[in-house]
Amino acid sequence: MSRNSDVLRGMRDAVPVGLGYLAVSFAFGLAAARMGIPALSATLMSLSNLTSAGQFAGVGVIAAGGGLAELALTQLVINARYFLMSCALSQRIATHAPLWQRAVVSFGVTDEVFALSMAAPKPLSPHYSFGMMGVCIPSWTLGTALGATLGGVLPAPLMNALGIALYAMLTAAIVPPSRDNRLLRFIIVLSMAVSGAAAVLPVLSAIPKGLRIVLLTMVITGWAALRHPLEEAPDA
Amino acid sequence: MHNIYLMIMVMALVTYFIRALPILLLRRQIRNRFINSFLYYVPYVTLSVMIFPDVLTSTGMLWSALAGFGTMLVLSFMKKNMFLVALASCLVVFLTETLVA
Repeated sequence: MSRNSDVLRGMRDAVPVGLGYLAVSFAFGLAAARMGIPALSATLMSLSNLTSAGQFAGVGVIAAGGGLAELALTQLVINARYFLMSCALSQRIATHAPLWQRAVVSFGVTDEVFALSMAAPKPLSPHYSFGMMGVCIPSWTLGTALGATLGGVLPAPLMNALGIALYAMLTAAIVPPSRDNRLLRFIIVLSMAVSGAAAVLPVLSAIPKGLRIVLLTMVITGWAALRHPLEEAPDA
Repeated sequence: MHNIYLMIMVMALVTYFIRALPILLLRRQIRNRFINSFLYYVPYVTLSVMIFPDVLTSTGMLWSALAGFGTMLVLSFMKKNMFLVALASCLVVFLTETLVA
């Protein structure tokens, strides 16, 4: 497939994600403004970071007058899951893709872009990623600017309704392949059950959420890979 | 408050570093069966762990979140596309919140 059509396909597939990003980044801009972060700063943060949980935590640290080390450590813990996602992605990108393309693709690794990338045909075309980034980065940045400047003009039920959009997209990325695969279905249910339990159990719930996600992923995925190794090259 | 632009830059650098390291370094195809299996299961496990239980607190009340969560599970299982799943889940949350409140 040609580069241009890969870019267009990426843009088209990312439209729902872009709409969800508009809503969530609007909420982020609003939250940042309420914590005293200037609109320009919040917008630049979205443009350069492109991550939801990390930014929410980041403005919290900044507003509380935290230091650079604390800020860096918070990002490291909360965003550590991207490391695992990038490991999985590294094996999907066409091996002949030049290094600069890999460097650009890396910037756009978000939970939703990762979900779309793993659902895309293999090998993953960097231009497909560029297309997704072309939609996701502007909408994440624009939503932040709007939220930070317009503030609470949207009624609460509408904001609440939009808050669930990203979870719906992540669900729509992992559940469909599980319909015809009992093992995947079991792994999804198991992961959610363990995660739900870990959020309320005494010792586990004390671990910061970002770190908990990484720990649970390592343990559950490690178990699955040992008990149910793939038959051959992973093409499923 | 420290210089806010410096703080934003530090956040961006740490986050980029985490994302780029594996993609820039792991360029050859990995042949190890365990690692391949591990990487194959990563998306399902990590996204499941992120969805639940956080989805339950993503709206204004538990009931609307449960209704939205049920909607997205059923529609995804029916292999509906991502846009429809998101739209329907938002709509169900909105209706639940306006009806219950």
